[in-house]
Amino acid sequence: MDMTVNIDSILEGLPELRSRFVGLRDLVLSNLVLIGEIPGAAVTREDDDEVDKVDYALRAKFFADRLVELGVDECSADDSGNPVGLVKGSDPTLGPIIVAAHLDSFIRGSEEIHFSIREGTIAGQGVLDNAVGAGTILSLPELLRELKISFKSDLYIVGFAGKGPRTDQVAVRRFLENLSVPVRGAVIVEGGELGRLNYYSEAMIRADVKVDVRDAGGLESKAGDNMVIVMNDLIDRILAIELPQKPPTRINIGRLKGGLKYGEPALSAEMGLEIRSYKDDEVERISVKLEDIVASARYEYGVDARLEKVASARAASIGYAHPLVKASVAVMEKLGIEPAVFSSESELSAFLEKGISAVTIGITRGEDYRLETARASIETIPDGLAQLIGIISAIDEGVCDHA
Amino acid sequence: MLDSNWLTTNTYHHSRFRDIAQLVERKLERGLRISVCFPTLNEEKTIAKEIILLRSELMSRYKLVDEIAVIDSGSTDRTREIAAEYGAQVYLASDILPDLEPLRGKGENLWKALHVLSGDIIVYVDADIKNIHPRFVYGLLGPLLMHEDVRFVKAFYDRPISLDAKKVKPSGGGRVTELVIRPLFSLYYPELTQIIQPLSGEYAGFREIFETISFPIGYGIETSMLLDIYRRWGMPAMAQVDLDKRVHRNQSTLALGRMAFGIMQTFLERLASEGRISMEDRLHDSMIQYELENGVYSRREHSMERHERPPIVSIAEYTAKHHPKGEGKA
Repeated sequence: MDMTVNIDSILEGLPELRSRFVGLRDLVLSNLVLIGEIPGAAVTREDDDEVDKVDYALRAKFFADRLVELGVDECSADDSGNPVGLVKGSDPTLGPIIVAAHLDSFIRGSEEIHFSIREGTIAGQGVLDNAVGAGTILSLPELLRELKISFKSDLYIVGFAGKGPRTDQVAVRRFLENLSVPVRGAVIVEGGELGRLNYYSEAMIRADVKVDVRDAGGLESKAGDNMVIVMNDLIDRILAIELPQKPPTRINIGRLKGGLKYGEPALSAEMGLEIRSYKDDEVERISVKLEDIVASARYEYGVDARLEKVASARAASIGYAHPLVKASVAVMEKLGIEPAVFSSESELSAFLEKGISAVTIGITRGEDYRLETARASIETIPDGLAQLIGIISAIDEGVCDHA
Repeated sequence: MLDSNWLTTNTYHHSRFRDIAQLVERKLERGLRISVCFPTLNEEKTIAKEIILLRSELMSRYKLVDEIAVIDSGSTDRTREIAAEYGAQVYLASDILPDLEPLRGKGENLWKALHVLSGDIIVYVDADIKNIHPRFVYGLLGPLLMHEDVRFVKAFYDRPISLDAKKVKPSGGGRVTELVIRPLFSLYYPELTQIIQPLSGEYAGFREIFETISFPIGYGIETSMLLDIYRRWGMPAMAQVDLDKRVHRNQSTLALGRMAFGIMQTFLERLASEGRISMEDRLHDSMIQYELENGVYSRREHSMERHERPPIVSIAEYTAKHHPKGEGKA
């Protein structure tokens, strides 16, 4: 049996497909505005200080309602609240293809978001992370209908409903655990950058370290009650951990806060850090050292020091030689997009760990991804859409089936 | 006499009309055409998004709206170009009914829109809304399509009554509404105080209403429209819709002062013409304001000369186009 799948006819149709997407661009734009302007969370307050409850499901609810409105064959939510829309394929014997985007944004608050559309760009907080991605997959049922494109496989359109800080991985993993059918392949859609092609994940652990003053029961705390000083010492010790050049391994301290007022010692401090390596063993080794450092502070300073791991991923890759990667590169090259390969964690690693052939791609070009001034190019959206359909079509043709 | 029921019976929330397919069905049953009009002056920051959202949602996905037009007062930025690029019909106000001496102001655009638009229902939406959403249009259309008595619908924003029973919110009007219009309405037309935001720039109504009232060109347009519709058709022909939040530019106090001037000017003229008050002298037609700059007060005088377009049915060119057989005129 010939195991190579010919995707030449798919590639050939791409330039034409891109030009047809130019006329359908506004459908995507309106969806991305509608979902992206929904705040990441709705906060109900007891009074000015006390938060009564936080509802992170606003976007997931909208996503599900909208999928139904725009005409998917079925729509449901799995038990961690990830909305899933089904576009039925013609061959029920084939496994589904998953197209997914995360719905939560790096802005987790309830503040208002307003996008503006000017001079060929759409701008506003979270537009690339991930209004463009979510708006794109939300538009798929409509775009496929307009272009009369159908697949042999069922298409699962999935929004990952992160429920606030540090839990996005949970939503993805739970979704994959609940899947009862073997998946043919998956495409994870990010707003940008057009050309990104992620097919491997580094091993990674994210952890929070918290130190609090402890009522020492008569014993004087050695840090004079100032937790910032304790944290400072912890950081020094972490920075002293030796890291190999190979496999490439690093520690990033990405968050730090402590104390309330200028004139008072900080009663608590916390930091968030991430350990990354190409090898699982390295991450594990450093993680043990980190635990020791935190434990030592507990006794040396007499404070309440805790380490909490909030996310982890194993190193995983489908490898450059994988036909899905090759097909994705071919699709990009046909559209004149220069592929950029780097590691991606979060959603992708969960798929790869499960043995599902998956890539992450970006839809358009952008700038200031994580700032208020974030902006995405409208002009390159049709390229991103053609690329997405090209890769889905390649999976539907079977590029992953014998990998 | 205050019909205090109106506020309860004729006030809606947009969510009641979110089944757009149902509105489309009603529209087709009643054989109506619907036009959306944006009056613009230098709105390049917001116009593209407004057109994209309304077009894709209410013209492509649902066939609720038949045309979207921008009537521009002569923007010096790229408003007209952008609007055309995103698929709106674009008109320069001075090109419409060119035989008339052109006037400049929002009222002029709204009035002239009646000539170029083909809808039986016209929806007016200001072009400076940052959080544009299809609800701004389908919310206004809801009462017009679903309730036959309703001929004119006005928008208001934010909830007038807090759901939190411990807190009472003000009625949601802006400064000019609460300091100028509601006092005047209370004095002369108490029923109209039930209109939560008389100055909101979003409203919709049947052509037969708009074509038979006159349009002041300046700030008085929203007030005069309410007064004229109220006097001719009464409260039952009106409804208001809560469109939740609207985000737009804020105006300076001085600009609001001029707005208040224009409104009072129109209001007093209307009262005098109705014989509710008598004025021995004509009103001054300039607004005088002072600004403190480097310790010196300088006087700024704005000419606020009042221009008003007559009911457009009195314009021959209009009737020839819209009522060729003389039918349907009020």
